[in-house]
Amino acid sequence: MSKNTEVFEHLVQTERQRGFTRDFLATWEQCEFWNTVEVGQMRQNPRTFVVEEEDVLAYNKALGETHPLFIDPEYARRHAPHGTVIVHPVFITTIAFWFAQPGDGGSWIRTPGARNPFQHIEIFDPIRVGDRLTQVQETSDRFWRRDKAYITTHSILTDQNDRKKVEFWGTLILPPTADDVRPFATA
Amino acid sequence: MTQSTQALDRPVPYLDDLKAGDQLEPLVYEITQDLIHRYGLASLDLNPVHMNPSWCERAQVFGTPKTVQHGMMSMSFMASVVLRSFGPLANILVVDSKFTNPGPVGNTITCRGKVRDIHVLDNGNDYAIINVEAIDQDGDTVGISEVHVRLPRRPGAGAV
Repeated sequence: MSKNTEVFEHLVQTERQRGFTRDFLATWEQCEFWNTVEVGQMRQNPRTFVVEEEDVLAYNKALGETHPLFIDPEYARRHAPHGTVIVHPVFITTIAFWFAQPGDGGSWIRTPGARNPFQHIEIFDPIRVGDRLTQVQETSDRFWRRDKAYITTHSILTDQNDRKKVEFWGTLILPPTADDVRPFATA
Repeated sequence: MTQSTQALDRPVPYLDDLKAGDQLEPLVYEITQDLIHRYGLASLDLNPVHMNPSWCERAQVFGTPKTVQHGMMSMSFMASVVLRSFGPLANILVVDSKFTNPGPVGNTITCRGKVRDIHVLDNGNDYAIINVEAIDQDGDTVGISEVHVRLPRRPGAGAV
């Protein structure tokens, strides 16, 4: 366990969290950079994100949701339209970070020193527990604005029935080169 | 965090029962490091700017030695304003957010929503747009969102 993650390791609770590359400082050189990333190339991520109940519960509870349709699986089995706890619409954050680990397209979202200016999510069909989601992703834009380097990821999530579930555009302000990231990564 | 009154069997409201300017019940959040840690793990956004207080003292990405809350946590809170008022089954179609100021740990964030406009399409895709603003304890805006939510028409309601 590194010093960067030891302050929160005791809170790790789900299998996905355990299997996730958690140290963003130790892995920064394996991620894409603003100045070298390929723009406009849609790529299929080879992995599949299976929406597990424990991941949804962790997200809903972290937000302080209190309605049993969000946090009580037994209640949801009896009362929810599909018999499972409801997935919060911004749970796509979890999905996006899981699909953007070192070596994946869009891994620049892990950059130390990044700032988040704006995000856009469109939901075509609500994500549900049990869904098996695949992702196509591109870095769709890269631009300077007021002396800051912006970059946008565009992703489409599709379920096991080949139905488009969600499309989102996520923009960050990044230190633009590896040399610019290094002072943050080694601070 | 304040707990809104949530009748378990309260149905999603009809679009026809909303009008521009209607205010939604505000939500208030105390931004603690424990909250940030739990959200970071749940969202897998483990960037040290949120998760590592000693790193933030050195790096000061936002010009503060404190950790800052996730923008996506603000976005989630702003979407939750709609879900608390309209119920967990409210069919959110779009969440569009801008983050205007960092939210350091220790902040108190109040999220307020207001119905901006009603879109009656009469094709089953009728929706409302809710503007939500997240404001800190000093009155500074941390984030703004536009949330589109599809709502049913009241049975027998005519075209507008």
